[in-house]
Amino acid sequence: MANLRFEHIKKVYPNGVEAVVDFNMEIYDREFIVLVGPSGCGKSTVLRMVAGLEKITAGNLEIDGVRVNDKPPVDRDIAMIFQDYALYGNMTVYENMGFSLTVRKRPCDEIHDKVIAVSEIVKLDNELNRLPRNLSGGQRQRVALGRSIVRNAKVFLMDEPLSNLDAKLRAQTRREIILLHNRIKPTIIYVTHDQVEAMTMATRIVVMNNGVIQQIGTPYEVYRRPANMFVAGFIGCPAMNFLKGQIVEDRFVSGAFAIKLTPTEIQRVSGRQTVIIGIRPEHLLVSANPDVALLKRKISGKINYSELLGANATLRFCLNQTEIVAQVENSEYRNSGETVDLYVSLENVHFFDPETEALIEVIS
Amino acid sequence: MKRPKRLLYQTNKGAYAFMFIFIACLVAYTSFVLKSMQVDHMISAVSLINIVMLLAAFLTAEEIKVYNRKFQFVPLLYAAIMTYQLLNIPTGVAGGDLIIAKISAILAVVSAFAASGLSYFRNRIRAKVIAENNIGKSQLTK
Repeated sequence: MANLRFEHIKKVYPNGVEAVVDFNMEIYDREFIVLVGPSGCGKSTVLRMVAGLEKITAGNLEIDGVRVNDKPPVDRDIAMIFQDYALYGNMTVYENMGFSLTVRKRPCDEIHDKVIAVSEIVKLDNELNRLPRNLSGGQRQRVALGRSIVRNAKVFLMDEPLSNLDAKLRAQTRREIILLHNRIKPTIIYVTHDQVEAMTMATRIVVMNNGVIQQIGTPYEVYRRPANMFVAGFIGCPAMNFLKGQIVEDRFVSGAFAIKLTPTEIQRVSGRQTVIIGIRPEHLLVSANPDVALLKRKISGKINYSELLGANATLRFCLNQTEIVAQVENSEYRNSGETVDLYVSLENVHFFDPETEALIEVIS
Repeated sequence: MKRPKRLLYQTNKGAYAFMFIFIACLVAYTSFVLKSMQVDHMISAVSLINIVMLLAAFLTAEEIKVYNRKFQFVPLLYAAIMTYQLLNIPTGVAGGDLIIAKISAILAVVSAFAASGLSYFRNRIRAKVIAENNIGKSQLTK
C-alpha cells in the first residue's frame, strides 16, 4: 500500500486541450479516494497519468516518496480495473486471476495459493473453471478485482468499474468493493461520474470540473459544506435549488418569495446586497401545522411535475421562473396541478457569492 | 505434489510440453529422412504418415492439456510408430542425416512416453482429488 503526492500536475494534449490544470493533493495509505465530476472534467486523465498510460505535461507525481513521472507503467506497481473488465476471454477465471503471477514466472503452487485465497475474498471460488463469457457482469468485475488483488499492488485504480452493470448489480458490487476495502485496506483511487458511488464509497471525495479541483473532503463535508455552486449542484440527488435574490434588512427577497433570516445568517451575508441561496430538495419541508417561525419561510407553488419514487416523492414547481425541486415523504405526494406549501429548513440553507459562486462562510 | 488441488484449475503443462517436444523431433526426423531418401513411391508414404502424425500429435497435445483421460495413452501409439520408423529408416539415408534422424526418433519416443506417463500420473491424482472433494462436473466445465 502507498502514499501518493500530486504536485502541480498538468496535462495538455497535443491538440492543445488542457485536461488537468494544477492538480495538487496527497493521498494517504489505505485511503479510498473517489474522483468525481461530469464527463470530460479530467478525472480519468488523472487516473491514467497515475497508471503511466498518459504522460504528465508538468508537475511531480510521487508514489511512496519516489518520483514516477518517467517510470513505465510496469514499474509503478499499480493495478488498474477498467469499465469493460479487460479480461482474457480465452482464459478461465483461475487463469485470469493468476495471469500477472504467471507472466512473472512464479511457482505453480504459489499462484494456486494466492488465486484460491483471493477467489474466496471475491466469492468466486466456485466459478474458477468458468470462462468470462459464462459469467454475469458483476462476476466479471469481481474477476478483474481479484486479478488486481492477487498482484498485491501498491495502488488500485478503478475507472468507472460499475458503469456497465445494471442498477441492482451496481449496488451489490459497490457494497462488495466497500467491504473489500474494509477487509484488506488497499489504497484505491476510484473514478466515477455517479455521485451516489462517490458518497457511499469514498473516505475522501475529489470533485473536479474542467480539469480543476473544486473541492476535496469527506463525503459529509462535501455534502454539508460545498465549496461552491458547482459542488453544491453536483453532489446531492436531486440537485440543489438555487435562488438569486437581495438582502433587504433581515430578509432574503427573491421576487415574490421572501424568507426571514436568523441573526447568524444576517451576520453571514452582512455587507452584501445580492446573494444566491442554495436549498437542497430534502430541506424543503411539508408541515401540517406550521408555527409562526415556519410561516416566515414558506414557499408555495403549483406543481408542474411530480414523481413517486417509493419511499420518497419529488415535486417540481416554478418560482420566479426558476424550477424548484422538493423531496418529500411519499405520504406528501401531490399530483401535477396541485398547489403545495413548503417550508425552508433555514439551518440547512447555503449562501453563495453571485460573482465567484463560492460559498459564503460563517464568520466566526 | 504439494498442492494436488491445483490440478483442478491448472492445465497439464508438463505433458503438453513433452508432446510439443515430440512434434519438434518428428519434424526434424521427417525433414532429415526426406532430404536423403531416394525419390520413389516410399517418399510419399513417409511424407503422408508423418504429416498425419504431426496433426494427430497436436490434437492429442490439446486433449492431454485439459486432462482428457481418453487420450492419456495415445502418445504410446505414437511412440510405437516412431520406434518402427527408427528401426526401418528408409535406404539412402546415411552419414550425418542418419545420425540426426535416429537421435530425433529416439527423442520423439522418449517424449511420447514421458507425455503419456505424466498424463496418466496427473490424471490419477486429479481423479482422486475430485472424488475426495466430491466436486461436481459443473464446477470443472468452462
